[in-house]
Amino acid sequence: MKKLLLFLTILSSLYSEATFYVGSSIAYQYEILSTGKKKAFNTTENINLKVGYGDIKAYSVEFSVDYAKNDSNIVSPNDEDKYGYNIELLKSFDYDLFFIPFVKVGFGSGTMKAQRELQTKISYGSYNFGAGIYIPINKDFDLEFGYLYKTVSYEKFTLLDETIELNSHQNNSYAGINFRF
Amino acid sequence: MKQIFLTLLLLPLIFLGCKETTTSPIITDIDSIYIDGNSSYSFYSTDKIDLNLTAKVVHTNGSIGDATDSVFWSSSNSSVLVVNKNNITNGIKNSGDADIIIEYKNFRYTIPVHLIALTDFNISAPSQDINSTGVYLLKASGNFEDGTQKLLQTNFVWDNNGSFDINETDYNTTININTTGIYEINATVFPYDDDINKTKTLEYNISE
Repeated sequence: MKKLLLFLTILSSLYSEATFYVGSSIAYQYEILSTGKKKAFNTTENINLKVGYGDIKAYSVEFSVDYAKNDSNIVSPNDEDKYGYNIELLKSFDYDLFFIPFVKVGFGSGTMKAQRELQTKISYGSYNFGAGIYIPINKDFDLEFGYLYKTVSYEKFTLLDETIELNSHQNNSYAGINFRF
Repeated sequence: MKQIFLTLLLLPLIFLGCKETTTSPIITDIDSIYIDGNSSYSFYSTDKIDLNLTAKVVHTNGSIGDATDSVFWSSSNSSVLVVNKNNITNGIKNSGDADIIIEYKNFRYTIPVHLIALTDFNISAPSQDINSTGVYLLKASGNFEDGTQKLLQTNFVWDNNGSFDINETDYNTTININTTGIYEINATVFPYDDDINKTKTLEYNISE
């Protein structure tokens, strides 16, 4: 799946009038976690920095790193903040409006320190699906508003008599700004 | 078109009202491991040991589960006690102490095991004198360091230099003598333990 996304990403960049861009955004994140038997919730803020390559009106590919402040304690009595990265492919639609809508798909991975007997660092992976709009300010800057859904799978937890799987649905509403070279 | 996009963009904002944050772990953790059963064991050195033990895990929420297949089992002295996964059997020594150990990363639990040593032993044909051809029952009994006397089950071998058939079970050994002559029957305890390796011999003259 990851190889396919990377291939599509590279392919798409060949057909666009592409430029490099950088951006940052702040997201409001609401995550619903489940072990199958129990549920947990996490509401937090997420800061994202990204580097992209592509055409604002066609395709682009983005690599981003994100940091999520974590006040929840779900996998241990002391879950720490989350650090992750994402690779996403975007398709924009030019309808000659004051904004440019887009959709994006991708995947990500990350890690979080925790205070468990056997695992002090918890890794996770995600598939990302999102949509949003660009609002160009001028030829260099544009605002970005969007929604990103992530289906997240966390590293398994062994309890010796059983192994627990933790998955989540993560909703992100975000606002950001991009600078295009 | 513009209205549709804006509406779609606003829909995700519904969850902005969600403020829930879980602050107690939903996944319990491991508190300790232990071996279910006695806190220590003591065996006579010639008793046949064949124990199947169970390892348990205690979680931080108080629940207990079976960890037999997850932990690593070992013996602190395999000459005294052999541990093969959760199966415990005799070693080759007549005396000594060993621990049954289970481990998983930082977790460890031990059970001490003591062998009660054999001090002497005798072999005999308790039912009748062996002086003619036929099938005879042989027994080996031992005296132990705590003063107990009991039949030997393991860690001893019978030998007759191949001159007749020997059939062994845990407690009973039978010999089948079908020709006349002078026969020696040897029994050796702890053949691989130099500290006590002893052989006793019975000699029979079969005349008919």
